[in-house]
Amino acid sequence: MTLLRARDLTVRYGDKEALTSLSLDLDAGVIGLLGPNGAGKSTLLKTLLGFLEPSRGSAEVLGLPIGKNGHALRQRLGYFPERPVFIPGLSSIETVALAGEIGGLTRTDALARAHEVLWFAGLGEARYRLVEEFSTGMQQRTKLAMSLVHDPDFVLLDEPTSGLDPVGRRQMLDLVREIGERGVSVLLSTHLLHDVESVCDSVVLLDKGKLVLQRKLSELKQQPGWVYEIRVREDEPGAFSDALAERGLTFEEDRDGQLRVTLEERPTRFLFEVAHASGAEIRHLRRFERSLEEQFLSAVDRGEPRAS
Amino acid sequence: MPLHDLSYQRFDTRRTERLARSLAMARMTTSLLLKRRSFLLLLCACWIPVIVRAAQIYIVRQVPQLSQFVTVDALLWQDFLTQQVEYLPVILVALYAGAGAISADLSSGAFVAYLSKPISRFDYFIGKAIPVLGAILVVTLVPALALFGVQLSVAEDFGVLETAPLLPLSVIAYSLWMGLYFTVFVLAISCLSRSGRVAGAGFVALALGSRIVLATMWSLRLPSPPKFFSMMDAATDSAHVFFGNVSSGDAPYLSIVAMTSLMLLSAVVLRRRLSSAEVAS
Repeated sequence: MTLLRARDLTVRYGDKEALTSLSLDLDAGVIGLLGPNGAGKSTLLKTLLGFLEPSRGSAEVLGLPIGKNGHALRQRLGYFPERPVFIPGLSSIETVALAGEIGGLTRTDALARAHEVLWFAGLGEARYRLVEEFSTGMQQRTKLAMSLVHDPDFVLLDEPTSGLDPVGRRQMLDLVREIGERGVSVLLSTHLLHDVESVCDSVVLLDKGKLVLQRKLSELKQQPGWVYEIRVREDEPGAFSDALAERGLTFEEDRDGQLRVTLEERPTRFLFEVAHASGAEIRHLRRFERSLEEQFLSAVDRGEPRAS
Repeated sequence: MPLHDLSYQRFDTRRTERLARSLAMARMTTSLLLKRRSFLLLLCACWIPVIVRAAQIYIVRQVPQLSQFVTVDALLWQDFLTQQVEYLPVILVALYAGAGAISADLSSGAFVAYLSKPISRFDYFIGKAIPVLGAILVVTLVPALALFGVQLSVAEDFGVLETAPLLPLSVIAYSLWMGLYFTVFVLAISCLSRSGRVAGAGFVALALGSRIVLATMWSLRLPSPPKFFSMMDAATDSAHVFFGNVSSGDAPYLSIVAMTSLMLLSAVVLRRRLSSAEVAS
């Protein structure tokens, strides 16, 4: 099932484009939305919720066009805002039950469901305490319960692990994973790669409002062929790179001037032959395993859209 | 769900109408207001004029000679309602119930949480307006109707209703009009700030400030503008239209126009602010 389909989606804040010609198709599942600060992650979430109107393009969430069917769409969406949320004077059970009633549940159902999701979120024993007196972790859990209380099909989580200690973070990610396992799709907006690696099936990377990368996490982890990190000394600068290019090898130069060459089947002896032929001397050679973080940094540096 | 199963469960059930969602918000806001002892004390204080009026009706009935000084007619209800504005109960109740209504949601993040649910901005406004309007009616319409009860219980006949059969309708219409006027205005002020205190100060400054300027001009015998320049005086002057004695007013129809204009302006402010607030948060 297509969860989200966007075509040429552009959102502006005045003269500034926060999202630029975003086109993507996402299938149901747990999806990580990554990007540095100001990449447009929160803007995308707010646009999907109907808070922001696209200046160009269109998008469909769960088959419903955004903007036109605001109520019908939000009935099926849950939202976990980045900022703290509390209603002064209300306990967590009252807050979550109220969110349920506003989400369309009857008063009785909302109360029953609020108990259920608060137990799930790990706040069962604290549900009669005021939310404003909660720790950051407990407030995050209350927000999670609020976003789930009306039984959405798709939950938008904006930095759910923000401000949590390592234990709280792991517990929050476990909750997100369990939601995903129960058939609720999740769009997890974060700048923490570890969070995405822990729970997501696929990943979308934004930078400066543009789509930089969209791929299944399993595909990202699988590297085609072998990548070798090489440093050479050469009399004529660039001769080795030119020789690699002539032989049709893919390579890239990192920030320190080292080359990363991808070989499919050929043995490393081939690299020495190329070096010898170009008059270069290999001073450093090692098998390179690129971490997810490096792949993302590399993709952001390239700034090229890469969708599978 | 059995207590031992704490895993995430789906919850497929019947959904309510949109009005029920606004009413849920209104109910919660009202219950929070009623939990505050200071608000209950304020409501009690606002009922002191009712007790005075009830005593007045009773005494005039017991001592008919006093009726040359105090008459129990339609004007008594008009005076009572306008005095609830002039002597500040309506202003204080609107201030207490309305100044922080939206600003608190903006500062606590609840605004975004509400609007991420399947309700519109108008539904949100309704949910916030009902408690404020209700609180104003508790110090205007409810005591005015209670005075009818007192009058009917001490009189041998239908008394004032025989001479002014439309009086209950006038009371209801004017109370609702005045309540709506102050509700929309105080909510518009509330949405302009994230601090309930700042919003409250703004509301008081605009409600009382215009009146103080007008009163100063009258006292100095300066050429003063008509009553509708003052928020509170416009509200009291418009009562003449509802109670059918237009000739007694200063410019009651213009007051109605001024109040309508202010309500429309407030609605525009609310619409613009509620449309953009979640973007910034």
